[in-house]
Amino acid sequence: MPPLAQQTVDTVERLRDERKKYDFFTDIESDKAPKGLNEDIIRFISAKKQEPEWLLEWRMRAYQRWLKMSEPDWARVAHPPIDYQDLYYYAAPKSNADRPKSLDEVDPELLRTYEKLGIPLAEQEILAGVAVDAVFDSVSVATTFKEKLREVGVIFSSFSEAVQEHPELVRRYLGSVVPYSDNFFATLNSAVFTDGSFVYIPEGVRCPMELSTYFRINEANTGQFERTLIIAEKDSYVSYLEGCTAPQRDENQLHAAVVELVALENAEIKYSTVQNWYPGDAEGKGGIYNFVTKRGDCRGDRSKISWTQVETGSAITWKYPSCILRGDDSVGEFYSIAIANNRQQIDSGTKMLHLGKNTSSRVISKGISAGRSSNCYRGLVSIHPKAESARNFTQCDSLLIGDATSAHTTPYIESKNPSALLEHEATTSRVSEEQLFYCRQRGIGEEEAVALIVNGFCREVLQKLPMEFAVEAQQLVGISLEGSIG
Amino acid sequence: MSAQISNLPKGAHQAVTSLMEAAERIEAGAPTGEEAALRRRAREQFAALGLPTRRLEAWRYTDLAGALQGPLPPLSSAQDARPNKTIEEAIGLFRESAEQMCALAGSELSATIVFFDGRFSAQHSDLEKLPKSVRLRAGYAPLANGDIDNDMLGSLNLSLASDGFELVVDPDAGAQNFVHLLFLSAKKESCSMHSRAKVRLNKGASLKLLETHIHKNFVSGLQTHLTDVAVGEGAKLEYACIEYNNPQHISLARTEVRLEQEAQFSCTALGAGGKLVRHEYNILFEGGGAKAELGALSLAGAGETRDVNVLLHHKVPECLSDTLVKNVLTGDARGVFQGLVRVEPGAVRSNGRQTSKALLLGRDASMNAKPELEIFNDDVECAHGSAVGEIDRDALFYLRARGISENDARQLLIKAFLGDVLERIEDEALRINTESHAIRWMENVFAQTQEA
Repeated sequence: MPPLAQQTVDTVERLRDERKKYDFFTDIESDKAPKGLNEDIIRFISAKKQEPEWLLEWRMRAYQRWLKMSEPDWARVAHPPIDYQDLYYYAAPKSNADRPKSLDEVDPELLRTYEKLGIPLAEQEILAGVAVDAVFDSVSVATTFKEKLREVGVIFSSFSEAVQEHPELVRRYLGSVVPYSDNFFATLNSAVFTDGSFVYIPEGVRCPMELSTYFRINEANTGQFERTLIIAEKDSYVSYLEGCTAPQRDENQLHAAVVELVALENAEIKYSTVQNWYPGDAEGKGGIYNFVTKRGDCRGDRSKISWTQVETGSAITWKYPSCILRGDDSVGEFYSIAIANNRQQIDSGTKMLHLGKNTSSRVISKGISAGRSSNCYRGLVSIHPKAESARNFTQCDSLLIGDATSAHTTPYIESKNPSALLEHEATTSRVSEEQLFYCRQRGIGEEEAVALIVNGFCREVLQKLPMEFAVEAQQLVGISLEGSIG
Repeated sequence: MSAQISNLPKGAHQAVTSLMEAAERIEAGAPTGEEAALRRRAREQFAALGLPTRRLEAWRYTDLAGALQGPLPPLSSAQDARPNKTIEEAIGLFRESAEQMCALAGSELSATIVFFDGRFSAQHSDLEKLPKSVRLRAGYAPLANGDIDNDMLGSLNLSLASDGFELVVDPDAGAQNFVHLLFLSAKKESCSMHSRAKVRLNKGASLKLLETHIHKNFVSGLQTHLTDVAVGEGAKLEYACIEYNNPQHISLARTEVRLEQEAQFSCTALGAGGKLVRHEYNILFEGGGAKAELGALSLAGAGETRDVNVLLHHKVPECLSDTLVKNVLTGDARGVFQGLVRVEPGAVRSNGRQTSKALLLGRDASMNAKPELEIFNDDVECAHGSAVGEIDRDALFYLRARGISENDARQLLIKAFLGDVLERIEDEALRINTESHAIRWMENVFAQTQEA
């Protein structure tokens, strides 16, 4: 194994050994706005961020729109009503006021948090050339490798920085994929988003490293509203990694992020996620509510957007990373592993909208349900009349562990062009006694055996992850299913 | 009247108003207080629900209100159906062709029961040919006090149904040859027909049933038809259904099937044409070890919409369901398939298969499919598949390379596509009969495209 990989493995090993260490929270005094949502709070956020007038107006339009919308109820998730006035919409670590110039200046408390989480921020430079734009309670605290990226013209910064430094780019692309009026949660995000990441890859540039952001939710009752915008200009390439963990809390935390990707001619964006937020205890108490809108726009011909996700955390996951295949010959991909254990509820899938000629999409979804959880794949493949010779292949498999769990598949297949070819396959099966017996006979412990079988079940997706993530994800699959057998 | 109804577009509003008025008349003329109460409950339920909008998940691809264009007074007994000479001939022709086909398969018709313009026609039926163990009562609507809450079609039909039949097969008995139910209509003016049927197979019974609906001459009408099927322990029902519709015909049908222990049900439906034809199949497994096979073949041309809705509800252990739905769409036809396999927590060792395939032959044809799985326990084997596309170019090339003309090659490939469903019919007589209808439709389509 190459040394870098070994280090990753070691890090993950340490992580795995102490699952309990996720159960903490850091006590840093927050600089936060009062609870509740109204126009003043939005003005407060905008002022805190020193935003230009047009952005405030945009937020206000979103807010006005949001007031007229109602929460969607079509997903297969159940939760007590969310009181949107009982949340904080702005919280930033106090030390944000004077931004640290290097890691040494970062609040040691914060660094300890990362350390406990196993995020080797200090080891970044050694580790696989990954630049990290770490988001701690909605505000970026430290950014590394910026110089190296700047050399090739790549912009990788926090969203608020981008608003200050590249307002023309933000203004041009913000809301162009997910408009502020898109859906209840995206609209809420548009009104109150605090920070996130911004990536711009100039024409012809192949981003020299994997870009990565670690998200953390910390403050109790803090709604986390991230906004990510990635623009890949003509003939460029970028691979973006996103991974998350959250400490244990008793109250449900709302997360409503928006991610927008724009791929121009010949560009390729690869977006990978490992999501491991606190799922609540065995009774489902206290987990994160994750209502995310992720969408990529293959705007240029021959562009490609690929989503890979490993969803193991959150009490509720409501997430449909989608691709708008606008350019001719553009390609959309969705690879997903969704693991629900205990009382977790997942309603996730993808939308592939074929608008251009010869567009193709591929959807591989692996859902695993254990305990008393509910796991639903919900997907749409839509072929528009002008999408000549479009092609789609969808495979969604469900694996059930235990007799109190449930798995659902709800695919929508809509074709308006006869030259398009759409294929969809789905299966439902379980970890069989025979498979377990076989492993047990060979001296493999029961939980390890389940992890082994499940890893085999989702191998197709794991292989699509960047190497660092693949190792971590593999371990996560095992950790997530702890206690699901026996 | 609900706000939903008063906000309808003009044509749909007129249609609903005419249906509601008729329902009130039927209720007033009900022979018993019990029936009047039942009709009233149904009418009120329908008035409260109104027509389904596309916001309802089950109707998201089908616009019923948009298809209704003006009043649809139900045919009443006063407008007694009197078949003219042409219709007499048509009835004779259909019976003859069914008989011929049975003969080809070395079988024969046991009896033909004719419904004309929604009315039972004793004159054209030969009930006496039925074996004693198969008891058929025709010419009335078997109203059941079913659950019509939130059920638009159920409540509409229950408030208006005036004809139909009830068929009961005695325990361990059955008919060797198949029973033919022939529904014909020839109304030229806008009107509607509402019928209900009940089929009950007692323990160990068996029956073969062929239902033919010919509404080629039925112009801009609405038909609702509900069939309630109960298959007793160890009983076996083989069902084939053929329907031919006028391009203006609107039809809403539902077949509800309850299967007891070890019961077997197989159904193959071939449907062609119609402005909007929707068939719902609700198959409920109520006894362990039962088996259901469903094959539906929909053929549609320009301006036509065909909607197949299937629910397979596994409530008990060890049942098997197998659904195959195929659509062949030409012109700007629209095909819809919504299928759901639901496996309840106790229904262990369930096996559910569901396949939907569509062949798009027209430039503007479209297909919407939603094959759903809802699984609530881990001891199951369920799978679904779906494919939508045009004729396989490679297959076409292969045939062309062997000197087969483009036209013949296409027909051959379409026949093969249809064949999958038709092959599932166990009884040879039924299969030949159904096949001949499918092939006739296809040849018609080709003749039309040749002319154009």
